[in-house]
Amino acid sequence: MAEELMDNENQYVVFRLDREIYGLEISAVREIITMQPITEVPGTEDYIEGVINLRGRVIPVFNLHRRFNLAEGEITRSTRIVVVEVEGNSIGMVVDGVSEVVRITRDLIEQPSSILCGIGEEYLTGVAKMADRLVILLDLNRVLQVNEGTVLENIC
Amino acid sequence: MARVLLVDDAAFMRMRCAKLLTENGYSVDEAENGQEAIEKYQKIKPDLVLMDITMPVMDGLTAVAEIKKIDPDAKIVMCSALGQQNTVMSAIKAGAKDFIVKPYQPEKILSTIKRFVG
Amino acid sequence: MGLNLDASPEELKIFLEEVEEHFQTLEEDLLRLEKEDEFNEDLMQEIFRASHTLKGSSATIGHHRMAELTHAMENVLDKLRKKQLAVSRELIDILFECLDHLRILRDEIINDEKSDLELEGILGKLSAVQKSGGIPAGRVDIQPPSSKASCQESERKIEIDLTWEEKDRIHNAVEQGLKPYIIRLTFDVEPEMLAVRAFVTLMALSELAEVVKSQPTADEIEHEKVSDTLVALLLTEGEEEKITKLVNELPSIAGCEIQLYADDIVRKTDSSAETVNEANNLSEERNQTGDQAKAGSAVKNVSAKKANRTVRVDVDLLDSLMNLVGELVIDRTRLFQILGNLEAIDEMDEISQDLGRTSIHIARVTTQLQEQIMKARMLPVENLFNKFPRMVRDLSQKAGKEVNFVMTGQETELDRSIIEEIGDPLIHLLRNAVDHGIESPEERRAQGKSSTGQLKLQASHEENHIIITIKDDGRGIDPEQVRQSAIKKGLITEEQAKRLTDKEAVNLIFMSGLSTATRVTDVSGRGVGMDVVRNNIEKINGAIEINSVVGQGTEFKIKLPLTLAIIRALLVSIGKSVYAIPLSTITETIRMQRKQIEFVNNREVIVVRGKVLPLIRLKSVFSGAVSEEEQKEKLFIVVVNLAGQQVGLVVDSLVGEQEIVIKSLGKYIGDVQGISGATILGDGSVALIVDVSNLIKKAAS
Repeated sequence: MAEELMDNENQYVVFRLDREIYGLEISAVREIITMQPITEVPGTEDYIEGVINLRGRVIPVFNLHRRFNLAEGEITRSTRIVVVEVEGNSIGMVVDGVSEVVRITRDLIEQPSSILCGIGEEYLTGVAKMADRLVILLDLNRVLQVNEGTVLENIC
Repeated sequence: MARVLLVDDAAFMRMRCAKLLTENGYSVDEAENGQEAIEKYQKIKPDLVLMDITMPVMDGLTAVAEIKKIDPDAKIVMCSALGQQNTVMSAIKAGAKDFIVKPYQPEKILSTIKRFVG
Repeated sequence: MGLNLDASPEELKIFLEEVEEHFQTLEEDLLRLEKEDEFNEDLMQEIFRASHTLKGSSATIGHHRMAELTHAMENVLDKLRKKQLAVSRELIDILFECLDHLRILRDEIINDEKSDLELEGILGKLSAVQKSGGIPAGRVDIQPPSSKASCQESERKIEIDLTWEEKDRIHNAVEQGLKPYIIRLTFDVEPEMLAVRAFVTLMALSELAEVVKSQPTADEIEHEKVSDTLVALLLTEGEEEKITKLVNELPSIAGCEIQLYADDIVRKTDSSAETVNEANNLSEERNQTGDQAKAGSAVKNVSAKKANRTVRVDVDLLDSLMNLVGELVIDRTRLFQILGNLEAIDEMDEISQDLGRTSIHIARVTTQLQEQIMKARMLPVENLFNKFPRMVRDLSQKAGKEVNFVMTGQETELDRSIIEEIGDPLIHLLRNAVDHGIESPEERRAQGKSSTGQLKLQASHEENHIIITIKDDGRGIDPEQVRQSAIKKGLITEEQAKRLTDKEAVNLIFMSGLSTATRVTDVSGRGVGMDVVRNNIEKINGAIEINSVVGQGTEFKIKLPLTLAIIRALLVSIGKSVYAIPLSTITETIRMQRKQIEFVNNREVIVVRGKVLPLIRLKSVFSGAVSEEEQKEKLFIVVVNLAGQQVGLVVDSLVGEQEIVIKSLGKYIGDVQGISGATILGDGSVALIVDVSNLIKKAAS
């Protein structure tokens, strides 16, 4: 990983959610931790799984399945919490598995509308067509935006 | 190094004056009122006392008289504000050597001190 | 526009601190002065001193407007202490106005910006008062006059009248080898100081030489018969330079002429005077460069000894220390949990025992650290209370009430963040007391009360809480009036109103939208009601209680935690989750059988010692309806009480009492009904903190 990045490429943390592969820009990801007990907070939006203790800090954890209207996932040994940092706040996101960090050059990224399946395009910055798979690139700010009208429609 | 005892109830004035004096090579001790000044005078025998007039517990005039009783050779310079000429006069008669008028002008303080302790 | 003050930042800090102290002294003393009938010399001196010191310090840093105002104040205060002026309401008002102006001038320093405050008005008032009471003192130029001694050669013969005895003395002295000099000095000094300056100069000359004669004489000088010139005839063994050197060292001498006295022979000063002149010029130059260096505020690190051994600490640092201690507190709990688990597994081996001992030690140190840091964050409520006497005075004047305001327990300490939060509620309660509580003097007299109302503000320490009470002996809160008002505003029905006890009715004033004031004054009635007061207090885990007796007065009792960050809580379990309930809200816990539950208005209640207690099932609040089969036969009820309202919280079991560190849920979770925050338990899991105030309000509506 010590190689320098080219101007036209970015590193992404790639994780699995249901059957789809998603990517998050590595700069936003603080750490990836194993699943741990989550305290449910009553009366919150359904996509908020609850809160966890991250080394003495209480941080919220999002359920991306519910956020993206995907089939409810089961917790397995590969389930992870991806901790991201936005404007100084740490937020956890439950994912079904984290595979690797990849480099994606800009020319591989297409606008979401053309090929999307699964989740609302408002959460995406694009889709990267890798040699062996499609990686859906998430717009973190939109994903974490709360109190919006939560109308998530399946496009397909 | 000449030792100066600075007597003033205002910490700000002491700080300011102490700074000026230490910068000019004097060793400075401080007292907050006349009573403390007498105690410190006996303990450290300063070469010169800069004495404020209006202070709680014991005013400067009383302190001059008391210090003079302890040490007739004590060199005391009064720090006065305008409007205190009568008190300064009394202090001079009680044995104070000179006076400085507030607000202090650094050169005046220094030249006055220099005159007494070099 | 900056003020261009002549002081380093460190100096300004000290300056501002002291200024604040003096303001406080002035405020307290002026209030006392107004109350006291007899002339109190000590009090007058203290007021004078405060103003005087302010003048000196402000002139020193070059805050001319502050110096000008304090100088004008001092003139008036000087007359007061000399009994040349009498204390009057009007005068006190003017002095208070001065104080308000001074605060604005002080703020100029803080903001480093000149305010648009005009001093003419207040200075005019001061000088009018001062003139009304005696000889006006001259206005003083605050700018210090520059003074420089410079010996001039004089062609002119300096005249002095000598008696034949004096001439004889000179004659004899000259025969003994002494030299007679005649010296004329002109002073450049504040006119008030001329006499003293002349006196000191004469004394200094007499230490060096014999003063045969001086004009004016020492006696005349003492009686202030002076001009700006002093002529003296000196006899000395030494050379002229000795005298000129001395003169050069003497301050405030603008001109100096010296001649050898030889009857009628005029002798020109020799070259030594010119040398002195040059030296003098040199020293002037040096002074100027010195001034420039200072203007550039070249601050050297000089450690002035401080009277008390304190350091300044940034509030942020204290906050972060508190957070770190919070972490330790959590880990302390956790350590013991781990230890417990170890013990449960098998006999403690050597290593476990070692771990145990170390844990106990760490726990002890943590507790001490926590206490010490909490202490470091504590401030006496004095800082907050200080502004109240003046406020109450102004309020009662405006409302035409006579109020004797007494404060006690100002030394009681509270966490600084709580002090910040509690200020507004207290102001509001005091305002209410003056405005609505205490009756007008006529009304009071008509009721056989003393025309002066009593208002008491008291702070005290009670176990793990601080209690602040505000008590007045005014008209009290009429429960019937509150009932009617609440019905009229549609907050409760007539039926409900009838069922309320008087105490409960009085507590209705904490509901939003209810005000018993019959008219709106500019004092209260600012739209901030008692509901806001209550909310603010409960927000910081405090509680407020009213005791009111019609015709006798009202007492508000505020119970506050010592600190915001760490509180004691009762942990309870509801289903699989653990919740924390702040101990400050809990009155008792009760174990009950399910069959003891009764229904009133389709709501679950139990009767405790003859009183009906509404129940809230936390499980149904937090996870929806509770099905029949889920219900257990044995119930645990945590009785909580806020603002006089009691409810029983039904929980599955009690886990234990513990110190918890309050953590926010953050903006992504936002406000959650019934939850005020979260905390981390000993096992590392997160427990939610129950928002008792929110639940009680929900139950009431």
